[in-house]
Amino acid sequence: MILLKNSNVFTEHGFKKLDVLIEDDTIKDIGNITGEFDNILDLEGNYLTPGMVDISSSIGLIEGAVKAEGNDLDEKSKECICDMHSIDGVNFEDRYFYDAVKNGVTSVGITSGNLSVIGAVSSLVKTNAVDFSGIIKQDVDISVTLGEKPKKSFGSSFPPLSRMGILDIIRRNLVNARNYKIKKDEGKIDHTNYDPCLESLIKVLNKQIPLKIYAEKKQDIETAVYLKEEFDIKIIISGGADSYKLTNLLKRTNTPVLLGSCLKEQSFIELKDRKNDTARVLKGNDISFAISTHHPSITVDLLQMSMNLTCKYGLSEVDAIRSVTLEPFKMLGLDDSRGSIEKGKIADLAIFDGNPTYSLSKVIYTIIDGKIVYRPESENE
Amino acid sequence: MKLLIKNGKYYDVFNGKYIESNILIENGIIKKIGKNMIHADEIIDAKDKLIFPGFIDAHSHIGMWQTRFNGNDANECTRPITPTMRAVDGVNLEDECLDEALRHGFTTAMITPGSGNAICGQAAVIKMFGKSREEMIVDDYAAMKVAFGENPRNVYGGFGKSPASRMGTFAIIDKEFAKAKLYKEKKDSNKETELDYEYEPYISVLNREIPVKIHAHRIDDINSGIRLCEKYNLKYTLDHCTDGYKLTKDVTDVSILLGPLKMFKSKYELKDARDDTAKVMTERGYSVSITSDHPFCNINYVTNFLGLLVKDGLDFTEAMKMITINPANAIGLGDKIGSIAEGKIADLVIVDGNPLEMRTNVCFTLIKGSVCYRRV
Repeated sequence: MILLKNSNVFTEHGFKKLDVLIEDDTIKDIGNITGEFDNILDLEGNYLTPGMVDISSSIGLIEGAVKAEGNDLDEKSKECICDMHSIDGVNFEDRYFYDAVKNGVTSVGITSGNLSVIGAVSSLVKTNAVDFSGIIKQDVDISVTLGEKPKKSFGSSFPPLSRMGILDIIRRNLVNARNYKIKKDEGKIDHTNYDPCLESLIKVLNKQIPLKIYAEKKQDIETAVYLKEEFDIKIIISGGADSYKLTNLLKRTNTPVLLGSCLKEQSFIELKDRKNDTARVLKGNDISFAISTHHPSITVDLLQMSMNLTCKYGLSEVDAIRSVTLEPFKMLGLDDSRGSIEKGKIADLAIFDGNPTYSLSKVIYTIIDGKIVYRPESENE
Repeated sequence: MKLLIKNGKYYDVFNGKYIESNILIENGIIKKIGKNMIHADEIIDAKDKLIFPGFIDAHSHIGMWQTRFNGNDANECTRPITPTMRAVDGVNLEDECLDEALRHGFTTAMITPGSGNAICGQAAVIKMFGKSREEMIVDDYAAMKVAFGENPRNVYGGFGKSPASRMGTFAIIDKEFAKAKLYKEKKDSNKETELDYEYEPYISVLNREIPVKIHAHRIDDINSGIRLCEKYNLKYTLDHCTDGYKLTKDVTDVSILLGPLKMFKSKYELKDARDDTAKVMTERGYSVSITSDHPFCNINYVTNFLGLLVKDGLDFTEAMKMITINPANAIGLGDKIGSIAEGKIADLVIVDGNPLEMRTNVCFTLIKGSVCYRRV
């Protein structure tokens, strides 16, 4: 058991001075705790938050400082690859996992690249993972890319070349999945017509997992929401540069937005209208949102700073911290066991030497599954 | 036109101290620093605020790799030797990135052609604001950029041309400098009457009037650059200098222009990049600057990324030098900008807190004494 004494603990109402007791991988108790424990950390003056989570990153799929040999981001041959699982391309030795741990990020959703319209099934893993035992949940969403990025992925004579072509691919696959599901329910699937892509998409039609749809421009976000209504599925808008223009639509349809980091420079044409205060606008309109680095777009260690930027532009500190802790887990339906400091939840925690909504505050401990996996002196491993 | 900034504290970059004082600016120059000054045409009240010299970015492609249209006007990869390509001819001074930079306290940048060619071309120094092109371009030829390492060999090797290896890159650069030296000798002895368009740009480099910007990441490439410059007795800066902490050669009089910070390690030559390079090299006595290499590191957040280095143990005083006086010296303008002193150009940034913290706001940016950004 570890007792974390006297730190400012992040609660739904902000920071409060409390003690937190960890047993095995779980938060056992919160409050004013006294007694004998094998491990007591006095954290007077420090700040304790849930470990941060980035549910759209490609750590381990595209490795730092390695070119083609280290790039398993895309399949580069098919426009629909949801028969594949991102976890099968991950190299757990990618140095960026360590950077994530060091900077208080405890879980990441591994997401395939933007070449295929329908990407691989994403997995949520712990950032201290060394192998498959570090998977938190294997199937958390399927990534989909709208807009400029998938155009001409496979040359100018193969679809998609346009937004029409992109939507045709998505709609065709979802319709096929719907028919496939009926056949499957009737027991008519055998070795002659088994289709792993459609098997994955059935989970989407059953609302077991959402489509995480990369859409920055207004028209692409609208398209994504129409798809959601048309097929009665769950979606997450990923990127969402223009989401502030569509507050009514997003609110009415209860669509969550995973905002891309505003640290990214804006030269990509779809980011033209991006604004720094979008998070505040979404909050003001009661739209649920979270923040992602989309690593390697911005490296994962900058998640804290991406969150600080939303504070600078008017988002409250409580909402900013929630946007990298509880809110992303809500989007994946995992908030009952993760994302906040509550009795019974998994003890994934980050401890800062100051208020974490300031970029100069530094992580001094990272705790995953109740174990200290990073502390300042572990720097010289 | 007199402008008075009163009630603030200004930062002395040399001693790392805040000094309570008023600053009087006349005709774009810091005229007087002191107390008891009241008369001026315009007054800025800097109560509870901190005043810094305008930040300087000594290696940037701002305005050349434009936002909005993905227009890359920074590389002319049609032949590997292009000494006549000029950054000023590729820059769009109306690019919104310049306004963004102003909003984040940057006032001066050295812009350079990209590193696709072995001899890349001519770097320039620009201001982020000015009423005319003439006012914005401080120096249209302030350094010659030369690239070692992956970029030139990958570009031309990819076309099935030379240079396709590091040997090839060094050889063609060496050949050009050898020819330039012959051209200069001929010119100096008055035997040459006709200006040679291709070799004329080397003259000011060989005369040590302007430096060579050595683009190099890996230690072998850095050493190649040093070898070239020693062979031809050139002034130089070491740009990017990712492996700089491995340097064993005593070149502490050379400016180190580190950057871009916090970029994804997209290529193999960035493999050994470390977060403490700035700290280690400073401790060894090098003059280190932090650069954006914009758009590769968003210039808006260079100060905040520098803050991350301070979090990891870099001394704050040294960190502030890296975006003020050190880059000013590196681009040859140390006597005019980079610190706050009487007689210097009034490029200033006024902030409401630690400038390396994300949540600090820039309240005013001044270039040559005119307020060109004011926080609403």
